[in-house]
Amino acid sequence: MGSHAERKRRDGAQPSARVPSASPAAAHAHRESMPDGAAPAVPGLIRLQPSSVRAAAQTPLHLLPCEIQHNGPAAVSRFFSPAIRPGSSGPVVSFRGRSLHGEEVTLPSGYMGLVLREDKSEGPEDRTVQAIGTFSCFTLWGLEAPPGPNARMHRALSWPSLATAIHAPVAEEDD
Amino acid sequence: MDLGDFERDNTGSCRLSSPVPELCRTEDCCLGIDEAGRGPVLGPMVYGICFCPLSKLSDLEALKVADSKTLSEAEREKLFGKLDQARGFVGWALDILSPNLISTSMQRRAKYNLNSLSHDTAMALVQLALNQGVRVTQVFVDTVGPADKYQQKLQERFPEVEVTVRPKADSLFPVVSAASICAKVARDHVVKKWKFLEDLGDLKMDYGSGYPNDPKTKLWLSQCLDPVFGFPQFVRFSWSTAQLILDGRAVPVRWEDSEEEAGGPPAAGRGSGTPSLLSYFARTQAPTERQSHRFFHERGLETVADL
Repeated sequence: MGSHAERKRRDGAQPSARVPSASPAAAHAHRESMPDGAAPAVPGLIRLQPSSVRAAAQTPLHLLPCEIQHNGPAAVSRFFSPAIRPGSSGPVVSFRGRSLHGEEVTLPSGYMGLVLREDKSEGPEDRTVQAIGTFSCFTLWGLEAPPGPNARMHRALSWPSLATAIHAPVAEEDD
Repeated sequence: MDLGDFERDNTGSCRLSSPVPELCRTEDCCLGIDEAGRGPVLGPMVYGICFCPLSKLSDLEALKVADSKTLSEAEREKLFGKLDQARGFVGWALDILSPNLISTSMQRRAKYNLNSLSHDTAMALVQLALNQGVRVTQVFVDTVGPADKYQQKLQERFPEVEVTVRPKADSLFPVVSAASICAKVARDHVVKKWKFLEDLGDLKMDYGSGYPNDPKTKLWLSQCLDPVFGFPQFVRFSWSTAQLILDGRAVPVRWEDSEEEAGGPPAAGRGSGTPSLLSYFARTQAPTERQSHRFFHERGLETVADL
């Protein structure tokens, strides 16, 4: 919530549909393996400062089933986290007077979640991002019901293992 | 009145009840229903029932119970003490509905309005008394809405019981007055001892009466506003007073079930209906980008080429 990586969505159509704060590694893997081979326009180089990844601490993350039209800090620890209660099927909370049911989602193994912030002082050509937090799991919230196994997020996170499988070297067959 | 259960979790609802007097299981009883805190934008709404054998009605009247609104807080406390002492023939039960429960019910996908919530709560309390073995023969209900429809609804649900729904019943029937006192005392206690889950810093809890037209309440609402989260859970988000402040001063939030924005009525030419005739003559832009495969689309996966 309010993390930098949340920014790229602009269409407003499917608020819960995107992989939140996917690490550049995950984004890269996805790009390389687009099946239609359409190469996106090459943007300027974006560097991730490796030292910032080592320094970044684990941070709790929440993905809400709504689009909050805000990009910046939010008083999560003052307003949201203390209101989370254990429910019969997982954590429950409310946001803006609407009831949410949550589910812990663990990232696929071998992946690391990063919350990134851009260092704005650099020129437009060379961009640097810093990791300001890391995560290996996050809470996926559903409106009035837990997101459940069919949630798009779960299905989205099945891609990395599938990608690995289809890109694994195939043993050459003897004829 | 032990409100410990509610204080431990003030995000849902909580039921409290007195022991059932033995007399109420052996003699025909009347039962009164009233609510406290329907109007305020702050704090819980409390539903109360009170019951007593018909033979003991004059004893109940002798306690000089009256409509809780005409009494001071101290007088209500005193009368509640008297009702408690009359436990040989008076029983009561309460449902405390937290402001969070009210907000989330009223703002559900399938809207659950305050009247339905009230009616269901009232009926659940009557059912509780019946389940506890109270021989309820008459029910008296105070209402703010249309009395006849409510009466019909209750009568259908409890055909064995004679139901009377009446505006201002809390000043007409002592058993309703007693219920109103129980409910109001509980609401007063809960509001006074409200434990904010949120860390509101050094905000002063000077919120006045909690009624939307109270300037103190309005001022407090705008002081406690957080641009992202809105209000603490003490506030009923579903009240128009709260919504207006959110609309004006908090960041916009779009839910997956919000109505389509900027569509106007789905009339000719716009929205989801029939496309405008003109659209057939318009130059169509050839798609410049290939759509990604359905597999990715269905999973909400997009190619990230930039941050």
